[in-house]
Amino acid sequence: MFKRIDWILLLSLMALLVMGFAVLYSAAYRMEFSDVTKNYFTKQVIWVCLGLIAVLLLSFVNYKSIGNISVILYLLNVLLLLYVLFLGTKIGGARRWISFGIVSIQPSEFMKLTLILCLAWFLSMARGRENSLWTLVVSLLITGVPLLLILKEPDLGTALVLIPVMLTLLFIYGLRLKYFIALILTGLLSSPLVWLILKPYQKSRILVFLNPSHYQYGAGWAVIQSKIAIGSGQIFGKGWLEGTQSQLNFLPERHTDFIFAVLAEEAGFVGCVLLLVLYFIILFRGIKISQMARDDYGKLVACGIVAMIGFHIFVNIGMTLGLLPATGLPLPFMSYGGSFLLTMVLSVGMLMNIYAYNSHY
Amino acid sequence: MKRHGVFLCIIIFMMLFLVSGLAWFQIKEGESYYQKSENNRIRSLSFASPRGRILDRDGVILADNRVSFGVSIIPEEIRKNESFVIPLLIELIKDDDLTYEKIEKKIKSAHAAPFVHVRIKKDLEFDAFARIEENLLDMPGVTVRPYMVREYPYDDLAGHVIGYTGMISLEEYGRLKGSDYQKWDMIGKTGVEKMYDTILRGRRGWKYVEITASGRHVENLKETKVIPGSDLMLTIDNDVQRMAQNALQDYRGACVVIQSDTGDILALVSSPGLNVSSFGESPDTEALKEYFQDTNKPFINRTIQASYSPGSVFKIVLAIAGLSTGVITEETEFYCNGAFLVGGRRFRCMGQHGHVSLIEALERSCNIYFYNLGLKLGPNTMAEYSKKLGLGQASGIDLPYERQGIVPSPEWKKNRFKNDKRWYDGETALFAIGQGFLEVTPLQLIYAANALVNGGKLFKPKLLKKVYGNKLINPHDVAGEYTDLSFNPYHLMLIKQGMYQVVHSPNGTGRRAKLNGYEIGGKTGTVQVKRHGKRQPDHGWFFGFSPIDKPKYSVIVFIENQGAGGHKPARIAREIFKGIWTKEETRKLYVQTN
Repeated sequence: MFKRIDWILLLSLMALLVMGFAVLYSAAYRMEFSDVTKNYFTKQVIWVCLGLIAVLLLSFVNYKSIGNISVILYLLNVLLLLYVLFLGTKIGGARRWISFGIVSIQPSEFMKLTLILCLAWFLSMARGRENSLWTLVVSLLITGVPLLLILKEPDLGTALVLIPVMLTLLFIYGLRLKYFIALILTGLLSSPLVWLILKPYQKSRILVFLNPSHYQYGAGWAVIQSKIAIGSGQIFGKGWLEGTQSQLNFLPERHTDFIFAVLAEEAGFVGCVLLLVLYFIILFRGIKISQMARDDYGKLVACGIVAMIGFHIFVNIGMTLGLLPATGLPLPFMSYGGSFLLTMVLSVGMLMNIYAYNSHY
Repeated sequence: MKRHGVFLCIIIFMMLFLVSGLAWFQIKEGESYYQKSENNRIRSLSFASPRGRILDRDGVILADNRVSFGVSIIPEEIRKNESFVIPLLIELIKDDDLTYEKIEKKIKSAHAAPFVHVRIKKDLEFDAFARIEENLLDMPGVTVRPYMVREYPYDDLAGHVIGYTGMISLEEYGRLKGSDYQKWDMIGKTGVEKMYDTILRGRRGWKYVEITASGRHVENLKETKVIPGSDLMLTIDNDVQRMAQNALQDYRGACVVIQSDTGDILALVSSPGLNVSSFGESPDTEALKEYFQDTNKPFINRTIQASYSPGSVFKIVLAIAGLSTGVITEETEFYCNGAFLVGGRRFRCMGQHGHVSLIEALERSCNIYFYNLGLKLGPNTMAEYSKKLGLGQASGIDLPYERQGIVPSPEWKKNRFKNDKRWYDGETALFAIGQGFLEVTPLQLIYAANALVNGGKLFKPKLLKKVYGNKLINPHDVAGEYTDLSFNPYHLMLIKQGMYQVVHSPNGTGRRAKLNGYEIGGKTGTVQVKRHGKRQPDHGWFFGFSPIDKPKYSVIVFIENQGAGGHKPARIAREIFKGIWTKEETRKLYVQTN
């Protein structure tokens, strides 16, 4: 049984979770909570435990069975998205959550995984039609519906994730390259249109990204403080719980968007490289698992998951460094957020599942 | 599958991109960002040190500090409540000059530091202060803070001596950067306030605190304590200064009174005077405008910043030169018939004195005697003795912007003039009677003359008598410095005799300085003035000392355009001596009865 566990993947995941706990603890260290149930750290620990239990339970099921119900999962998730749009809790002008008392869930987070499961299933059924426009169109539809619903919430960042996921799945599936060129061209040509459709706050994010010091005391503040936090960590960091940017409130959203800056300030370059190495191991293993999988579904799901996790890492860290505009995408296994954490843990769980059911002869 | 390979490559590139980004920020620019994070969390507060006071030799306080209140706001904290706090504040302060727009402007210009206090009103009246204190709880972000203001209790007494303080200028700050001075500091601009600014200001105190992003105090870090400035005692005697200022108040001119045997300056007067209370942090702009427009130029300290021909007072210098070099003796005589021919030009004398020797020549200020003497001595010797007595060079008094004056000589003329470089005998003649190119400041002249009456001691003028001290400087008395010129005492006695005659003889040019019951010696001087080719009323000098044998006091009075030295200047000197001796008698009486 133990041979069926990808130990490298599992240990890397554990290491990441431990790191995540340490960093989140530091981020929440000087925050004031009205009671323990509201403490970010404790809540995150609970979500991780739930996630790990779910993964354990999942291991008794062959992923191909999940594949069979992936369309149902997809549709259920879309329904939840619709529910959110009309009856979801409104926070800060956006409807993204369904709350159940102390707990609230974000359907858009789960959508990232359910889309992978569903689209991968569709494409695994479409063997031989790599040259067909029909495949492309259906894929766009499957992706487009949730994308538009999420966009409506509004949640631009999360919606954007679905695009590289879809592209990766199509790529690994084997869609003819000409379609990719067409897609890229269409994307570029339609970007002015996109600019017009963007909401003002979304436009300002891009403007702020291009010239943060101009918005120094407004929207640019966060990324400026983030750069200071990251840079001031230098090589060895300032020490756990000793980051001044983090502990003295100069860094906004340090438990979510900018959690990486907390790590960078307190653990320095060394800590950041360690994190990136762990992430790389997971992504690398994911691709290996995809190659290893004997069925198309396994192959596709694995790569889809790698794309999803990789995109989050890239965009979040890029944003904290001011190299990319702000999108609100959290950092896997680090940022506080129950639904997101659960999605990530389940995703890795899926990878382990694919490995387990393919590692025998 | 090949596509997996491509995908892996993309992932690898992404990771490398992030790592290099991190390397840039944390390694290459790490130091700089670390500095920024320190700047974020550390706030420095500074505390001004109380300025040292300036006292006169009796302990009367001439420059002091008083507490005043200013209203400050913290822009960031006021921002949320701007709409009601600012109008409330304006209503409580009740200052017509303080408008909503002005406050808005100040807030805007402080946008780079939203948590630093911005002062919107200085010198708050006490009842406005009370009103604001009552309402402070309703106005978050508003503070009333005490601060020190320089005060001159006697307004214009010794204004030029004390000077005043003002806001440090960009240029001054540039020079003083790195020291205790801050961009918004007050600094002495002129007078003693400027000369001894570093002693008077002490040292700022600093407190470094750690703060959160909202400016909330976390903990204290480093602290350096304030060092109050050291008090200074001047040699000035406020009574004598007041007397002398009053005596000169209707004229343009200068007056210096010194202790003959110590060189201490008892009074230093430049008229018109300056009311130094008009300057400072909240200057009296009306008064300042008047000063700037006044054609009598009150800003010039005529004791050191203006140089004039000394006229006949200079004859005493010639006298010592003649006696010391042996060119004349007390018996040497010259014949005065009112005119003297030099190089084809006729030089005049005030009267026809017949045969005169030195003492008479001094008594009556006979020009002919001194023309003769001057020609015999020659300009180089005259220049030598002038310089020996401190003329033509800065005296080193502890006041800024002192002029050097001019001691001419053939050498000097050669360097100075482009066209006519030759030295003429006529110029020697003019030099001899203290006119021509020769220029002296009243301060130089009194110390030179004083050296001839106190036995040959040329003192270095100083105003500072005592430093009370603080942690930075030890308390100490400031000793007087002098050069012993080693003149022959017999020669000096002869000159003194002549000067005694000037006042006490019925023919003496300075007889109007005679004060019954006291011995006063002196020398008059009258300077002809031409302006734009037209003759103006003469300037007048009077140098006096008392008593004769061991003089205690020397006085010099210089009045512009009011005629001969034997008239107004002599009378004024008399008044001053009267005042000085009266004060001394009163004091003796006081001591005796107590």
